[in-house]
Amino acid sequence: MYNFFKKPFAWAIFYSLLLVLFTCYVILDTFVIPRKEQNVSGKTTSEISEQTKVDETEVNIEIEQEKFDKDQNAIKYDDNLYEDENIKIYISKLYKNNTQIYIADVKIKSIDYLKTALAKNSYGRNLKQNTSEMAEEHNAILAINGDFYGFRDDGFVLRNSVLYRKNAGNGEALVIYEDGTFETVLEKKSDADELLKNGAEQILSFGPGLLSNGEICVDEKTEVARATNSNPRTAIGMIEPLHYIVVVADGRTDESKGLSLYQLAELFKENNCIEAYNLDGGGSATMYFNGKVVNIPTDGAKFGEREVSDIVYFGY
Amino acid sequence: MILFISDINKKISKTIKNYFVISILCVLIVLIYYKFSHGVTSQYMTFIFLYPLIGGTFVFFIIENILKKKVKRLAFNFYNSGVATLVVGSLISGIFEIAGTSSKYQSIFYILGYTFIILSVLKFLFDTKKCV
Repeated sequence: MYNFFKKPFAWAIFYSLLLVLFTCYVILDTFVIPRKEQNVSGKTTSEISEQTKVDETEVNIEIEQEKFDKDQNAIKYDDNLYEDENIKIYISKLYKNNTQIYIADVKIKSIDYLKTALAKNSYGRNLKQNTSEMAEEHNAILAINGDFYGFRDDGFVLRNSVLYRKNAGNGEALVIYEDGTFETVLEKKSDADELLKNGAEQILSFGPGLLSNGEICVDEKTEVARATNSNPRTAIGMIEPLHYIVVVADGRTDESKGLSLYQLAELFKENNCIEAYNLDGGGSATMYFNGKVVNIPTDGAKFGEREVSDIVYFGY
Repeated sequence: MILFISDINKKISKTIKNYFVISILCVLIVLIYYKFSHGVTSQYMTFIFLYPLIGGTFVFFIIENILKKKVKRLAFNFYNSGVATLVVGSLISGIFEIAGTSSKYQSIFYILGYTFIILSVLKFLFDTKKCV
């Protein structure tokens, strides 16, 4: 063995092969291999398998009931507007900063109508689905991509009052409380359990925060992971509790350049928001409304939706 | 064994040149990668060329011209493996940072790379003879 290590090329070939194989495994583990850790109900996969048949029947009945209720309650329903007694959404388009921007003005009667969903209905790494698929599965009226939590190992993940991940990321998280208020917190200085105890319904971990108490909290140079270009963006802001602005901007095309974080923050301020938070953008940026994807998602190389880990949606 | 030692030292000048070429290749690879990264950069990638440039070209230049010591095959192999592991680790870290992700395995590249380098340096310090 000792002599083998001293041979001129034997060691080089042997170690290069090991290094290549290990590197390939790390890349596959990071980007491709799915790892399902928990079902959205909060139970582990093995625990849930026994109840699957019963649950499916119950869920189907509930979905049918919700569909029926939605149809009954709907007053107006077209390409730009949805309005019933609990939810009012108006979508407008704006061309600004050489960018096609989609703005959704959302008013809801209760925070119960602002929900999140995880791809494959499970929490885990590399579990992905298109935003529109998840939106359809959950009967969403308006849906946007979330924070792509499944692409990272840290950052709080609290969805629909279930805490899936407690380890803090390096950035800021958006906390949505049960009274409909938004708060941007620094994860390293926060405790996910404490936030849950204080009434947090959702925590999204991407960032940065764009507006805080009505003031822009990014500057012209602030970007996600040192990105210096304008990019497709997804972000959500609050005018007042239960009144929100959702923005998706197309980018990376000749027709639509994309926005910088500062331009995005300015947009929320112009729309009278007091809190706003940047979500996963780039190729993930997708807005779904009334059964259709309304923007033109692209990663700059090809058009079409990118599969993501999660969505934020308004619906029943 | 003597044949191996003399063979390696003949090749040290070639190793210096090879490491320099690898440094330039690293710069080119990073520039090409940045062309497609939509303006997102990573310091892991930007400075990746320093591993072969300082860890390779500079170190072997010192060994050949100032220390004038012989390098045995085992130390040579371990040192090259260490630098290669650090280069790959830095590249992977850069790719992950640009993509906005991370992996629990990233640290293994650095632990392994520096372990190889420390072992090779120890072997070099305690096991070499002065050039005549």
